[in-house]
Amino acid sequence: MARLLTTLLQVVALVGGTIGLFVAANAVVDLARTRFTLYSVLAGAVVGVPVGALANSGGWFKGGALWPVGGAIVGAGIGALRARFRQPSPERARRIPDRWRPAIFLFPALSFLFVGLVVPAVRTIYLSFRSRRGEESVGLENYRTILGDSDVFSLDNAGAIFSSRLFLIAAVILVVAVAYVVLRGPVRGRGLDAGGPVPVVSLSTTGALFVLAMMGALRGVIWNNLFWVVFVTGFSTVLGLAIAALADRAAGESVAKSLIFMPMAISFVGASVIWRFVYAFVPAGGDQIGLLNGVWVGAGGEPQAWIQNRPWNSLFLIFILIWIQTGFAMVLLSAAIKGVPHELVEAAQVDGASEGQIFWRVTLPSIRPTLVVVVTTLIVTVLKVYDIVKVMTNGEFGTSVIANQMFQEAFIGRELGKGSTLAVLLFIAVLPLMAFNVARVRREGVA
Amino acid sequence: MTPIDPVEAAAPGLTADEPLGEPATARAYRRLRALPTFVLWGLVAIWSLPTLGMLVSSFRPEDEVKTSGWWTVVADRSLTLANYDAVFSTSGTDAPNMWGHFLNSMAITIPATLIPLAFAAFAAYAFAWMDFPFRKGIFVFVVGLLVVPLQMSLVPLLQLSTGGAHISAFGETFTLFPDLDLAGKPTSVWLTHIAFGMPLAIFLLHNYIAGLPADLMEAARIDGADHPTIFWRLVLPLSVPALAAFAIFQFLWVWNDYLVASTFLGTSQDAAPMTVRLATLSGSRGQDWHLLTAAAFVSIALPVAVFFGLQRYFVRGLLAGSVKG
Amino acid sequence: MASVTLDQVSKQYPNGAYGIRDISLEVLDGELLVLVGPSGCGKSTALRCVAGLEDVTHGRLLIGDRSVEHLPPKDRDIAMVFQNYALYPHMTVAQNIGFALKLARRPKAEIASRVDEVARSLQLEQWLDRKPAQLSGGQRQRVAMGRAIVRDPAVFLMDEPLSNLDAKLRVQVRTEIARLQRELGTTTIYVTHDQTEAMTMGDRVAVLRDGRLQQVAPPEELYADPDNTFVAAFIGSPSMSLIEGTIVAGAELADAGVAASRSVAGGGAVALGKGEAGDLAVRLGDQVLPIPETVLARRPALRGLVGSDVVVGIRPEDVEAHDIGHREGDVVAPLTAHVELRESLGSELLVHMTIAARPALTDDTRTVAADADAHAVDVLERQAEAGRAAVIGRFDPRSKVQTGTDILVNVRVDALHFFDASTGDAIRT
Repeated sequence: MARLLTTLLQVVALVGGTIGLFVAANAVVDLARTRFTLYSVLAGAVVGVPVGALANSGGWFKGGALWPVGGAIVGAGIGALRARFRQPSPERARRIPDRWRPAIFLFPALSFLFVGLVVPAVRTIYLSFRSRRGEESVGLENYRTILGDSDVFSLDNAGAIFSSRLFLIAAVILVVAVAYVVLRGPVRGRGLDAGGPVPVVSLSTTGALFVLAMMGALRGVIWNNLFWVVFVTGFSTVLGLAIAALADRAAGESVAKSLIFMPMAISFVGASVIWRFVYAFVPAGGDQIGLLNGVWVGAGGEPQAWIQNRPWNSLFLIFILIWIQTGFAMVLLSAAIKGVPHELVEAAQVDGASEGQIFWRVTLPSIRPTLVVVVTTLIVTVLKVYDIVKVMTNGEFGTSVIANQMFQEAFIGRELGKGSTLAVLLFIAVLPLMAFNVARVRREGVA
Repeated sequence: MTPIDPVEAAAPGLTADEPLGEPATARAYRRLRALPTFVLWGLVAIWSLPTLGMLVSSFRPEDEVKTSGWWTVVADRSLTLANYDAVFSTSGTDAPNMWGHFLNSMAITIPATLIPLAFAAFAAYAFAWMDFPFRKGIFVFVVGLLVVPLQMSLVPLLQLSTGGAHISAFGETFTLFPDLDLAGKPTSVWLTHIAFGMPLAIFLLHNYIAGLPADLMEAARIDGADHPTIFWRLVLPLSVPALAAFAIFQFLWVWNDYLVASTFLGTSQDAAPMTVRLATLSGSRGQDWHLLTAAAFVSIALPVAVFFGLQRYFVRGLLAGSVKG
Repeated sequence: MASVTLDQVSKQYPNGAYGIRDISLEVLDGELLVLVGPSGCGKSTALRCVAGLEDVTHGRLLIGDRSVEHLPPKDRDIAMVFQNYALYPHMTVAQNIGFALKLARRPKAEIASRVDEVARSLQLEQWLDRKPAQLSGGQRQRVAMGRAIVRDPAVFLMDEPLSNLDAKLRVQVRTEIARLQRELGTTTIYVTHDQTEAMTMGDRVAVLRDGRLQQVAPPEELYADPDNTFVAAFIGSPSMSLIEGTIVAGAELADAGVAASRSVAGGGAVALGKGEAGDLAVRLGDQVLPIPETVLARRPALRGLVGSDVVVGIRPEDVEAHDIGHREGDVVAPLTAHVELRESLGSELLVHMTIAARPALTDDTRTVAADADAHAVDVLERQAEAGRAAVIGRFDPRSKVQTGTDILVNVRVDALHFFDASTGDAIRT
């Protein structure tokens, strides 16, 4: 309780202080219009404080507040001198507040961003090229070690992909899909038409099966991230879309959507506990307490240690994130579907399109921007997954992902260099999405 | 030959006094119409099973939880509050009870939710309605920061909170950032969350504030208002929906966070929020499902309540943050 | 209360385009000047420059005798009424109206009394505690006016305040605004794209096009004596018919068997007196119209243009059916035209005809057509190609003209307008 009160006091102090400084800064800057000398003196003092503090060797307040105060006095003096010898015309003085206003407004947020995000990120990149304690430079050594570590990344056994049953089925479906698209013929003016349910569904299934085949053959933390990204993004989007479309014509729509969306409110840790319970394993002979084994055994199977058996155990962890994120996809896609202009749908109906055709040919293309947003946001979220793996398996049984590896190296193994390298690898994975987002905002313009 | 009565011929057995039955096609159509509802609610039921299982188990006595599936509770109805009792009373060395952890979560979440609002609102207004050099560039930069994984900042931030930042030059050590002795304190956690939440706050609020009508601002300028006045009297009151949306978003995000809290608080359980405590319990007492389920439920109770109560704002925040316009 | 002077004011954008260019205008103290023109002509830009919402790149701006180009809006002693009203949604009507006074730190009592006074004059007393969302469009418009009035500024600036009201309400509010302005006597600059509004409300009307001022004059003068083909085509609904013609010697009239005459009451006409018939005529395609002496006296430059091409303008009310009686004293001449369409409005009959002459197809006429709608430009071009110029006549509603027939009309030749064929400027001296 005491902690909470202290915290609340800290909040009040921080927010109150900031607003106070904000008001004061605005007032000082406004002074430039009417009383330039006073403004100059005060501005000088304000600049002087941090300069003085920084100049104090060994600490800002080492030896009391002498240095900051001294800085203030010196700054005030310089301000007074400037006012004396280089007084601007009333014209230009009038413009001073407008010039400084943006800086005052931006300072609190940007300084937090700078100190809390930008500088540390740059430093992490720097640390990735240094030794375990950051003492000496090791060039690309960390990168080589990590990428060479077979637990992290390896191409062994890649051949097994192509001999697996999954791959075979995937190939067959691919051939059928391609044949279908080619035989169906080109759409006038646009070449081959890959739209419509059959090509999309079959091509997606092919892709999913292929990645599944990869999962059966390849080992490594980085591959795990790939599997997570493909399956969570794919299934959450598809499921979210299906539920959104379904809910659009079902009764009790908003309640149902709420319940599906609810897992988003649960922490990843909480969700992991819930699902660990679902996956609970009791060796044969005892009654099962986990839901999945309960159903499995009830249907005549042997109890399984779902989250320990490689290589499919990751899938069970992946499903947890699907469970959580589908609601997110659903909410966005539901809003998008409802946002499709009525007239478009009605025109299609008048033109004789069936419900299915309307969905694939009118609705889906209209919500493409939202689909893009959903997919990109999901990818970014999934790449960062940590909590689920930590609580479910602590990264064991081959389920570890980059974030877990990073935590392990940096905070448990105290290898700052390698930990930073893993963070940078994660960053590199995210870079294309960052570029995409930036391009999108630039295109749409800043207000 | 008797004349054939068409009604008789069409539906033998019916007399003219009884109404005709519903045609078969209409009946089938009606059932088909209800199909989405069935499928949807079937899905919802399956979707909610895990949570339901946890909930039910938290009320079952320990030995029953460990020996039989929770679904058997239908037949065998023994329910108890003993698990919650245990969770709320002191458990573990140097760790407070669940209530203490609840307060810890509050102590981290409240500042991390309220403070970014104030700072980001100023910045969002500046980006939306002021003109200054590099305005677009800086904004694009902030948007870029939205996706940077927090792992990129964790290590240096931890160093910052435990020792501050110093550089050595000219034979002296200069302090860029003082050592505020934040190691293991919740302050370091929420300060970090503020920094991490800032890009999203700025982005969300900017989306909204930039959408306010331009002639409102112009009318205020003609009436004699300057930027701070316009911000305070016009923009802030009108931005309440966006502020609320972000607040809920951030609240849920910070309350449910595990990585940042565990990084900065380390192994100390004293200041641990509920997520950290739950994770630790799951590791150290992983088979005590009766305790785990109760603890899990306590930890998710508040966010789920907030979610259901303020869902509208949460959804609005999601939509605003993801789909521009 | 003050005059507003624009002296060679221009606003140039960073990409080089001009919003307004070299506008010189003086708005007299207490007058209501209307800025009118097609979309994109710069009228709103000009208003916003006067307001201080946009910066002027060249030129001087004076309110009264104060130079204000460098002053922010709040120091210019102006008030503005916006097209979408721009009412503060979270404040009550009373707070909206009193906002500026509050910012100026006037004492509460003073604010309250002035707000009450303004509310009473606009019949808003019972709405003072409501928020804008609870008011109708017309009421919101009045609150916007109240917000401007309460400040008792030197100048009112109004940016299309009626465009968001429905047609009937517009007519009603229009008169209210005009009455209010006359009562208060405050100098007002009023922007609109609706030339009917401009003509009814303005003490003087300034026509703009592509950022440049075309003509400033009282409405009647603008209508009767436009300075160029743009103003001629833009002002007046339906538009003036502009046709390509050639100035020829009066002798051609005799060859064509055409003569001007003076109409008398009850129908019929008498021949003109000796000095009244001019010695010049204008050829429109295959027909000729005489140019009476009165016109030559007003436009002596025509004498030097024999043999040259000109643009002739005919207003709809100056075309009448040959058989129906005319106003006494008009000087008229006959013209044969083909009836394409008749529009009966009950109170009048608009007859769309064509004659075998080419319509004036210039930048000016294209711009005015495009402002009406994009299709109109195509129509104009097709007419030019076919050599059939449109002539619109405002006939007596009892007239029995039939579509598809060729009829004889009387053109009031002493009301013909003449413009230079290349520059579009009115031909005068």
